Amino acid sequence: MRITIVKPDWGIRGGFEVVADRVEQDLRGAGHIVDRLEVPVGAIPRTPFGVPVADEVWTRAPEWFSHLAMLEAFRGLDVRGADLVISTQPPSYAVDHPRQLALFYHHARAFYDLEDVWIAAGRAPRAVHTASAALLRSTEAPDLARVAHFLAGSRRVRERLQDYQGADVPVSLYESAAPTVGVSAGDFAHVLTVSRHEFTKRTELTVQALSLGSTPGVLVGDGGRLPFVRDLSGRIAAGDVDPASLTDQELWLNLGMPPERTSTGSSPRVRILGRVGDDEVATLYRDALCVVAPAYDEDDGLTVLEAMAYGKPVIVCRDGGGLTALVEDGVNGFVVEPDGASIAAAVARFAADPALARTMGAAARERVAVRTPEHARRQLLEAIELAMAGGSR
Amino acid sequence: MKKSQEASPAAMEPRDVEALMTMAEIVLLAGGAVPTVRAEPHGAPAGSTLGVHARMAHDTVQHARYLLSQQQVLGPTRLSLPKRVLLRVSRLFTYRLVAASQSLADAIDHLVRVHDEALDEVERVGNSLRAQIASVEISAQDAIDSLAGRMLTGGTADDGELTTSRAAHESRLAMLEGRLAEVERERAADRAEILRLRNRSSVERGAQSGSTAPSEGTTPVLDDDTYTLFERRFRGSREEIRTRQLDSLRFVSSLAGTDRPLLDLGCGRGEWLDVLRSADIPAYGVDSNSAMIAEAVDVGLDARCEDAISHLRSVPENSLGGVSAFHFVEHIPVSVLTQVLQAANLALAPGGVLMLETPNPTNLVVGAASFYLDPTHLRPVHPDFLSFLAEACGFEDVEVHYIHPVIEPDVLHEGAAPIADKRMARVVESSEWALFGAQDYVVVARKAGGQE
Repeated sequence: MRITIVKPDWGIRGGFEVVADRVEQDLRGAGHIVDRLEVPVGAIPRTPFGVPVADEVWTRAPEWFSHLAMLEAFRGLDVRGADLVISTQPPSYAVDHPRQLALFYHHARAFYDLEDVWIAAGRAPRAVHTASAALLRSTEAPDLARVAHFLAGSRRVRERLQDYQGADVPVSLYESAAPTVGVSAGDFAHVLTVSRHEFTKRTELTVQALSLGSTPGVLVGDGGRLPFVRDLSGRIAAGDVDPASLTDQELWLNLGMPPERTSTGSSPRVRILGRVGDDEVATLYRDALCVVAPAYDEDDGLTVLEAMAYGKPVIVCRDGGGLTALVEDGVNGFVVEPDGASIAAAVARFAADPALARTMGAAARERVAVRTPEHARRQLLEAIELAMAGGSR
Repeated sequence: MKKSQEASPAAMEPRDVEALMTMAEIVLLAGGAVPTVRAEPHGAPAGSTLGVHARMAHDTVQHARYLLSQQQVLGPTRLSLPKRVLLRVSRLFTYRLVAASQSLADAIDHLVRVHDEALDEVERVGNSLRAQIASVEISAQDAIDSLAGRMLTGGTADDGELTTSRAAHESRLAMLEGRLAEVERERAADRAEILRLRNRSSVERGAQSGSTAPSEGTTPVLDDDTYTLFERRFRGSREEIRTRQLDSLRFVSSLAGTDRPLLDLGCGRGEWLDVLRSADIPAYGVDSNSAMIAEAVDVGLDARCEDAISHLRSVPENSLGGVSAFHFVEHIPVSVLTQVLQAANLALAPGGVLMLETPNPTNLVVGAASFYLDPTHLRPVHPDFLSFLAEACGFEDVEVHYIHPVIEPDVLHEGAAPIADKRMARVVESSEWALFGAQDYVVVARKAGGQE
């Protein structure tokens, strides 16, 4: 049958794009004709639903206005030729088709599950944000209600769907395949965090943990908060701040504005590399003692999945959302309190006992062995059946 | 890990108020866009009557929207901020009023002209309009509530300008709430109009196809004289029926001394008209049984020998104070019953009373046996269904009253010892209802509108 994948084009390539490519490949493999219909986010005019929004108003809530502009664009897409439509990131589910399968990893999070955190970090005044979040949710509720079936990227995502769309939302799981990596265990030498530096990714906790412990560590990844994270590390190294007394607001619950005057300090124990090539990432994984995934309430466990495929134990935080799904505390990693000291304590256990890290790493690889491409493909094809059957909803 | 105090929420700035207003405006339009897209039937074959009319309705809505967009003639940058906010606020509501009165009325006007096949479409569009109304109301209310909350509590107002702007916002809010109430009144009127149009077109359709009760139900079974004899034998004498109907006066007591008459459908010998006359309630009746009408006219009642349903259709809109029918609905097919209710809704003045008495099939003896004693009965009408149908045809405050028990409860329970066993008590209670309970029930309802 003819399947159209609709997707906002953000002009970047991240984990989700890899998943979307995999889905497209599986669909073609199953004999379907697949089209992609992408809406370039940058090209959307600033007139959602015909209302011209002045720049000074738009900048009060850019995420809100661009979401609504996108919502309008997706509602207007002509997908009548498709037998089935697969929607992807928000708000592509606004596409109007009776048989829509939503490959769903998250809502527009600032207005859903991150609403409170958004306010706490000072990213929007409470008065404006709660009202605008409610308006946004009520506006797109009918769009979400029209989706015939949701394919949730993790159990955590399924929970959120049930929270916001109701307990009876038609949803099944999509557990994407673990990446295939060459098996050649390295040195178990350093702590590794592979993550973009963005709000709620909480890479600051890795910096704090490394500063409090004695094991060296590496942070890999680009992102808007990279200058802030670097400066934080520098200020700690220069002795300007005491890593033990940093608050959430000082660490991650803030706007992450880069400082006017960059700190000159640097620590030999904390290497913040920014973006690096795939080969170097693979080498860093192989030589890692353990992987720290400190993010707050993640959608899926893709980071953990990758680390475990490399045979490394993983440290995640109790409030890590989808990250915690694969980690069994004390078996293939540790689930700790969301602060640097707790992470540092878990790292210290591996440093003191590398054999423990090896055992848990082996258990981790075993844990993700079931996450095969075939497993994911079956979940995808079953969901398509459900979406075709549930099309009358 | 120590946690410092949450960053203190910034006070609401005028710019934020404007942002929220813009958001509310977008949301209203976003909510409106859904039904418009829906009104375009994907599957309708090009050139069919249905397709053409739906397209016309759709284009009308689009046109209205275009006109509205042109309404924004004042360049916003030339106005001061408070004026811009005010302009936005007022546009929020003018959009709604204009869109409601112009595009929706035009769209509905096109749609009601469609023939049989488009009737379903009218209903569908009507439903989606109702959904739109509901969502618009909710969003507007949300926006106002949240703004009200923010404006009254949010601002820190540490300078004079902010205090002044807050006071100004408060007074604007009061004004907005006034306008919202106004819009809601208008909306109720729109809703009533949609219902009226639907009932009208359905009633006219019925008149064209010429479906009436007697031709489909009663005439072939018994001739007029035989049925008069039958009624006397099994329903009771004129006096017995009159006594029974005295009790029903309570349902129409509000009509005493008013101008608009009550129309009794299937008035028979006019016992009920007689009761109404004694209570100073203006009334007349129609019945197709000439023998019975002759008896009624003999005692000076206004009773006319006419087909009840044809007559009801010919009554001017909003002209009746009440419509009653005793043991009538069980004689007509459901399709005709629906038309009777729709025609009654049109004929009644706002607040007018509808009153329908019929055998109670939840009494087992009635439902299983006595109902079928009358060979002109078609099928029992369940009280829940009759109530539902009345609501569906636009009646409000629908009530069901169970009357005429086989044995009055106080007589039945006289000297009876209480039953201690709960299950046995339940068995006895439901048996009493099923065997000795109400033989008839009355549905009483009002046409929307009236005094309020």
